[in-house]
Amino acid sequence: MSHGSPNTGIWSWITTVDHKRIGVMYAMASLLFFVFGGVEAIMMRTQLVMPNNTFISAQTYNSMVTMHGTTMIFLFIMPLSAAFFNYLIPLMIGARDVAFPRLNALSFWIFFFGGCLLNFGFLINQAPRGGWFGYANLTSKVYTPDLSADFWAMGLQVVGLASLIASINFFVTILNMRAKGMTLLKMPIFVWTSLVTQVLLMLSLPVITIALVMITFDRHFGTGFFDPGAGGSVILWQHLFWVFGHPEVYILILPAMGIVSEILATFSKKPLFGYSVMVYSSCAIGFLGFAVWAHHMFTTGMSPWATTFFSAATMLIAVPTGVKIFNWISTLWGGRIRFTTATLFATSFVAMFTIGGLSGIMHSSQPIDTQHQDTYFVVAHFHYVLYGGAVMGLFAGIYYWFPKVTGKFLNESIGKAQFWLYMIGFNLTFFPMHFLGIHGMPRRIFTYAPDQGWNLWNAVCTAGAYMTAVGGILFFINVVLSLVAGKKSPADPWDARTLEWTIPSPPPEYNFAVEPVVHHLDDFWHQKYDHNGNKKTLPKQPYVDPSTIHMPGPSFWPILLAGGITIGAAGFFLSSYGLVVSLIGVALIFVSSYGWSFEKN
Amino acid sequence: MGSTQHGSGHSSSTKLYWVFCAILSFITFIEWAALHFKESYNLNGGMVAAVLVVLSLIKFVMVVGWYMHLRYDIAMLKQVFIASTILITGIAIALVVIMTGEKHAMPKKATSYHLVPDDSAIQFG
Amino acid sequence: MSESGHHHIETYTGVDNRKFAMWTLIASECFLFGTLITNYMINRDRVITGPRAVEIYDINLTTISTFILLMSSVAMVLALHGCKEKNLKQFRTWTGVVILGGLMFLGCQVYEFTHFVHQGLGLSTSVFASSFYMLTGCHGAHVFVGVLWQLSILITSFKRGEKWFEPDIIEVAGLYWHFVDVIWIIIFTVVYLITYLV
Repeated sequence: MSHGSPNTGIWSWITTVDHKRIGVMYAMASLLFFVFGGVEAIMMRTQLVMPNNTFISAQTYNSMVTMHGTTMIFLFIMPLSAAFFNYLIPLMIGARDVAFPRLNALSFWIFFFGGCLLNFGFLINQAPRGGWFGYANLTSKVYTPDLSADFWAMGLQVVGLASLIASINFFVTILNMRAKGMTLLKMPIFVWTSLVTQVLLMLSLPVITIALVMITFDRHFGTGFFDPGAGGSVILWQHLFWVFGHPEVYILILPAMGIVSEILATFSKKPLFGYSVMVYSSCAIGFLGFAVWAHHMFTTGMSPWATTFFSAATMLIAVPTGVKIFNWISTLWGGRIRFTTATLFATSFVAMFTIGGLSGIMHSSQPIDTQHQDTYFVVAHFHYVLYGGAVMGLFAGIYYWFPKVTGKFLNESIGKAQFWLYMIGFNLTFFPMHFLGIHGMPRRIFTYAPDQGWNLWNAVCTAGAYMTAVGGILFFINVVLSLVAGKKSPADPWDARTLEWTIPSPPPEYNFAVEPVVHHLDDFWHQKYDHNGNKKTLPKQPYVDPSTIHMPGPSFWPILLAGGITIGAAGFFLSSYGLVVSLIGVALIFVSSYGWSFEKN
Repeated sequence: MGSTQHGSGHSSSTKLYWVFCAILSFITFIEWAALHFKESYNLNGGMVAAVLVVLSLIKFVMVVGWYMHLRYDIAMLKQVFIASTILITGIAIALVVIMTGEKHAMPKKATSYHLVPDDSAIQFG
Repeated sequence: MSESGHHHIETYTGVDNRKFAMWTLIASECFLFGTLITNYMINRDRVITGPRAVEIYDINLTTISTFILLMSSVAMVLALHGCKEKNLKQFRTWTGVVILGGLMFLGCQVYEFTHFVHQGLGLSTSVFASSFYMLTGCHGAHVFVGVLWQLSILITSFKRGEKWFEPDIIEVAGLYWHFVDVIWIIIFTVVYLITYLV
């Protein structure tokens, strides 16, 4: 995988500060964790294929449920989105790199080590099993005496830190490193949704940081934040978690929305319909996303005033979200649509996300939600928006930008086979869950009695899951085959609209030989075509000697600092020799911080 | 180190810092004295609290606007800071309102549990 | 904290990247401390055993430490001013005052905590205690990091001599310091003073 960088070999990847390489590493790591999350899902579905099954124990099932959610959210969707932020944002805004390249590398290594910490429990049979949302006081020392809850809390702290640091980096990059002439309303829509995502990250992560600290203190320092016997409150955990948790779901969906917007415009050969409306609705979703958290708590006995407020706010947030659906449809409408694999995934996003949105708006009514809460109806809802939505959108992005990143196309036939296996498998798995929920099947149960009327649909769900797994295997085969023998791609294989397509595939280390000057939204399109749609001749790029372009050099302080942070966190909850481990971590942190500060760049 | 020196010959900008320093110190003194005033003059606790909140907001604005120079910075930085402050204040107020009050109060003493057919399902005697 | 080798990158808004990043971090920290303060407000009456807030807070001591931190903020703007005017003595002296102020504030915190523990208010004594210590402890940790940062700046100044003036870096360090002070301004009122009023 050559990326125009002069360096090859493991050490060059470990010390890289090039946003493109970091993006690739994020993608590879997230796909690795995707396999973990997929296996966890298959384990669950196999256990549930028939009533009173004994495939796995209840405790193992709880670990699967917990880690499947935690892994898919924090170790797959978020880092894969980060891969896109990393690779594309500088290219789309006409910059040579992000604002803080070493910080960028730091974020990746913290995430990767944190992901390892989260999964470490499996090795000692103490994998987290308190649910991905760790409801108190199941996570207390009394009800979870082993280390599993600590792996979960500390692992999330570390992974959260990675996202926080990255969010500051990208926020500054987007606002401060744009090419000349690229005003905010001339930025590609993906950059806008990414910007809102960074704001959501940087503001919501501190809340869960504190909440997780409180869990750790309760478990190890005898505090009683979530212990009613000590004067604490379990509901407090739910509030704090969901104040983070709700913005988190918009963090999960907004990048995919941006990706889909770019792809649908390109393959309809039309500009995105209602660009400024899409921008404002993204901002509205971001802002309102902080005002709806307690709709996850409609059955906890809040006062009528609180319930009404959150119910109304949730219904309100459906408006900017729904507006986007109409804009995507209008983008496709009347366009000269080209159905590549990317288009298929992107259009399926629109349809699947709409279905998920419909079940979502049903939840916004508290009386109805009382029927849905903790049943499979909710499981159906969030898989439609997260899997049918975010994951489909991210796969669309992979098929779309793979040629740019690697210089080779992904195979379209295998891609379409994967797509159909995914579409059919996904719908087979999750549509019946609406029925299961309405028929009363609760969430998070490891088995069920044979006389509940749930047998048929559970079997169907499991069949769908296996179909999806085959699709996933096809995807990995496609990636390997294409890397080895894929069709070569030019700079602009799709006749696209944004700046990343103006440079070679794969791009040189410095991205742009000459920093671009932007005059329009979809500037590249305007460079290629005039108002009547006639092709223009592109101006010849002046020759620039690459050695005159100064790029930041590699550094090993990021990986060292990331190691120190993770070791410090890991030692925190080991009782006997934990302090020593943590101190080693702290020492590493000090050494790397000073080394970093005084590094010449 | 010469706490009475004003703008050591260069710019008048240091003078402004010292003026603000005096104001901030004075406000801090008022805050400290407020509790004594409340007792001596038998003022309403809520009113005094409101005044103190306003006073600390004034200090807040002074330090952020002038010491941190936000008053003279670009609009974008102001928007970032002000939007975050408003958002967290809203969330904080909502959470405190929801989580305080009788329903979520810590039980005074749990001697027995009585199930009664009204909102408060558990009463502590 | 990079050296004079850092070449000035032209940015879209004209604001230095590091300054922009510090304001962004500050926005994030608003939510960090906002959560801690909210948590304290929710938990301040949750006492089963041990002293209550009204019984234990020492407003005189806290006013003094608040004043000290405020004065260190004044010193901070003066240090930045000295740096901008390339006045080495002013820059170094006022930076020293910032460090001194920070250390005195931390000293007051340590004294306060030790005193509270002796009076029976430990970390796990009550939910009120835990919330109080978590909030003020987190703030104290931020002050400590700030002191380390200012110390590094002072040491660098002595090592590099009279040619080393980096107002961009000092400004960013100053923003951090002022923000830590601003948070304490809120804590002083909302945690300590309000206890006796509402």
